[in-house]
Amino acid sequence: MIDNLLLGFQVALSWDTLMFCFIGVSIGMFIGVLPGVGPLAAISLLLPLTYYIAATDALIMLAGIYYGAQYGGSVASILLRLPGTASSAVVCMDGYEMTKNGRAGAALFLSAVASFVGGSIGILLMAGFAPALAAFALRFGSQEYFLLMALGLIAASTLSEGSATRGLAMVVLGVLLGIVGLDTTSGTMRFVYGQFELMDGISLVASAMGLFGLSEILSNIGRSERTRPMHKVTLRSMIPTRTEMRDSWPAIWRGSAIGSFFGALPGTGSTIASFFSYATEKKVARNRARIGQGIVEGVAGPEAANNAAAQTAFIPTLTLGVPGDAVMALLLGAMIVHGVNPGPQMLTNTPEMFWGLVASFWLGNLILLVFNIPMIGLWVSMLRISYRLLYPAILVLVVIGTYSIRYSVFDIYQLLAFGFLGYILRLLDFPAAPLVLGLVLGPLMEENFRRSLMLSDGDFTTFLTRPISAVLFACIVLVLLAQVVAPLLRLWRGKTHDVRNDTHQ
Amino acid sequence: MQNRLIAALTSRSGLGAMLLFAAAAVTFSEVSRLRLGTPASMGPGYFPALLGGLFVLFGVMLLAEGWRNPGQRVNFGRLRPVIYLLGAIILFGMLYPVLGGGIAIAVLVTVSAMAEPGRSWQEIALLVVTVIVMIWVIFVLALGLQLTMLPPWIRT
Amino acid sequence: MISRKLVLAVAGLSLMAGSAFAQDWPSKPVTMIVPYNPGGTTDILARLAADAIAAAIGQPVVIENKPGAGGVVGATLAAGAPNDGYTIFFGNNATNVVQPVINPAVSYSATDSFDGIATTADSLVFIGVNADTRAADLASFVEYLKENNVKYGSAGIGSMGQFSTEYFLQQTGTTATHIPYAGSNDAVTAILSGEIGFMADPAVTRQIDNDMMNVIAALSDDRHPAYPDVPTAKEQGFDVSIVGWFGVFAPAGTDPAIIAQMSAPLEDLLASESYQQQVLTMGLLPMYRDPAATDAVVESDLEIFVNIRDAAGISIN
Repeated sequence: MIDNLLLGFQVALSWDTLMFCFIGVSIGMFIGVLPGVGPLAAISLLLPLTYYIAATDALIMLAGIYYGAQYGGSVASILLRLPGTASSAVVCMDGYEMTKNGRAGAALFLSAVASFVGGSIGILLMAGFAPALAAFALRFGSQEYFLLMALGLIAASTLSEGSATRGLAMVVLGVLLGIVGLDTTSGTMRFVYGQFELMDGISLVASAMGLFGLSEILSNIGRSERTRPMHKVTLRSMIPTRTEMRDSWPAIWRGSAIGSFFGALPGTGSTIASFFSYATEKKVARNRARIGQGIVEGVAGPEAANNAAAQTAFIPTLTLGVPGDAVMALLLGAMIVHGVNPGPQMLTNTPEMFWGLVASFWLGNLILLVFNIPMIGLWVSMLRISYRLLYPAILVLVVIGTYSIRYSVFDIYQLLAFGFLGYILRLLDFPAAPLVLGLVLGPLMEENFRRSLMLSDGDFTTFLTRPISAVLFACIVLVLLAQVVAPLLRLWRGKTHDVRNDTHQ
Repeated sequence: MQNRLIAALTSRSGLGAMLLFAAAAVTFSEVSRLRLGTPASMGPGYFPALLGGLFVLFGVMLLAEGWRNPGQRVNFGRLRPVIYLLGAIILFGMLYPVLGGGIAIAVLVTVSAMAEPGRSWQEIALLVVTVIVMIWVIFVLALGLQLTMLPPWIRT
Repeated sequence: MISRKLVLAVAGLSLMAGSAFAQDWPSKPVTMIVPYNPGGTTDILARLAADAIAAAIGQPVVIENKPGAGGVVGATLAAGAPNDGYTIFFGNNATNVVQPVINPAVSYSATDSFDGIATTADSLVFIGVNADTRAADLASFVEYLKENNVKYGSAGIGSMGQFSTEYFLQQTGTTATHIPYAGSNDAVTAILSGEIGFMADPAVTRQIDNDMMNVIAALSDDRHPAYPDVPTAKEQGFDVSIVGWFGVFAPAGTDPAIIAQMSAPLEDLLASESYQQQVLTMGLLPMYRDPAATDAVVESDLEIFVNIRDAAGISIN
């Protein structure tokens, strides 16, 4: 592996290649900051230009856009509660609360560090175990996907603070919105009402931006006193305190592990990874009692997770030739156009390409970290612009960004509808995060459940008889038990002292 | 008793329950035209039917919550900004295909800025120009996205 | 629904009346609607075609991506555009034939809504089977299908893969159960993991070197030059040929003289070495059809796909 990595760095450290890596990650970060404009748009725009440069350089640059966007995505989420990418919707929750508490700089700093560590761990796993991880991912069939999604929904059903009924109701609403469109299994249109634009389902980016970003603007300008912070930006406020760092590390490790796993599974990815990480932090973080009120674990965990996932997502693409999402499909197309043939033979046929990419990923992450830290001051100082002037500009950015996803005015109306829904949900005290989670996981859960039974000819034991599915099933039972037993336990212990105040502040 | 019922229905939880019942109604009306199937071989309607049932269940639970705490009222805030902002986006959606991005953005910025009272026309004009230039630089110049900024009569 | 004859008659009239009009064309840029996202296969081919046309007519050809609903959003828009030669459409057999065949909500017609300008590439369908079936050629796989209850995957209800497989099953007198996936890649993964037995799709060519999958046949008349080791079904004694294509179309009733002006540069493009090389690397086959041949392939495909649909009961509703 050392020899291979040396070969990789030999490729990635040449001046030209390094420059293309730099260009790629910079564009990616820029794109990520812009709400709605995702790596898909940027990569497809640059794709034709790359025909004129060497294959390795081209792919290093395009891949840089992909993972660079993950870094940028959190900036608008933390500062403005505006998720630039679907995967950064999670960071809105505690990240924006940290901003309100005057810790915007610290949140951005932690997010950059967590992203770097998560990305690096994903890359290490890719370097050491890519074929093994790919083989492991192939053991996940429809049954396992269904159970995994069910586990996620159950574990996260109490994703945010407040009444469990409200959280669960929002999960269900999210699942319902998630199944709008053409039903994969039966070819039936559901909730489409003759709108072709709805056939592909609700737009994840438009809904996340509407529910978080637009509804935030709607609530803010409705009130005389703003919920928006106006703290002085000092160097001190930009660096996390020792306690914040100490609390973040375990979340970063957990997030990295969760992200690496979901990235390697085709069909899941950064968005699902960051939600699973957040759900985990809700259960195990040191400050879990205050989750949703701006704790560092709620930023560090999901950020590490979505960056780790962005790296390990290359594993199925490179070692199986099967892309896990639309952006990966585009990158795979780029490789094929450049005459690179991803698949099981890639490691033996074109090792310099594989290891060059791996090495460049790490260099790209390093560049992103080094360039992100000094940017924090600039980002935070944006908060000093008067909100009066800022919000019309943000509104235009959000609307244009949504339109540019697929050049559809219909999507602007989706954004509007979700913004209004988000506003209503706030008034009625419903949390928005479980809705987005349901939207992401719901359709996958239904599709895989029905497919599992088609494959087993209607035999329900199919969910128990496969080794991994049995383990997942046991996990679900455990989580369910914990959710029933823990409150009972608390009730019993509550007699002696109040556990809620027991948790570390 | 009757007063308490009205208070419960219009409380935060009560209105939340109404929202869920509305969702259930939409769900069941769509489910009625879909094939249900059986648990082992679900049709396209089975899963949404389950969701509809859950909406009813959670709705009832919220109603009960409202009965217990009828005092939690919804703070509606001021409606003017919400209407202005949503109206601005609808106007953009209607104007952009016909008049191009420049005019549509100008309208979007102007109407949304008017959501907050007490702005001078100079301030709004400055905002409009800044935002149009910013959008043109970022989306057209830097990213090369397919945005038509000019109105059709100037385009050709 | 306007009949084909009427359209032809109107087109003939406009040929006489519109020759002066055709001389003015093009006086402004031409818009080419692409019904998929930028960067995908259709989009890449569309851009190559647009550049060739633009160079020949001396006006820009502007790509407008209008993705959604399997291409129906863009195709509907193009079918309703004025037939003045300033709006053209880059479609494929899925948008122009399969969608009108399977989706009753589609408002345009395969034959009456568009006039063909040219095709620029064909897409061959390959059969990939899970290696555990131990089928190394088509004959042994057909035997395997006869003896086992096999499941096959596709990119979804009404996908080219489902149609190709159903056609293959009909022609070989075998049966298999369809398991729809949300896209070709999910189905390829499912074959690798052993969840399903086989699929017919262009995407399986990436697995030719993979020990976990055997790519046993191309459903075409000739072997694909980029995959010379995969024999055709015909060579193996099964007459199953079903090919996808990509091409440029104009809204029905566009002046044939304008169509000819756009078809000619595409014929030249297809003859160029660099284009052929690029299309082959993408796993496709360069294939030029003139306007008449493009209309003809739409018409013959329509018949084939309607027959498969009716025999296999494929529909979305």
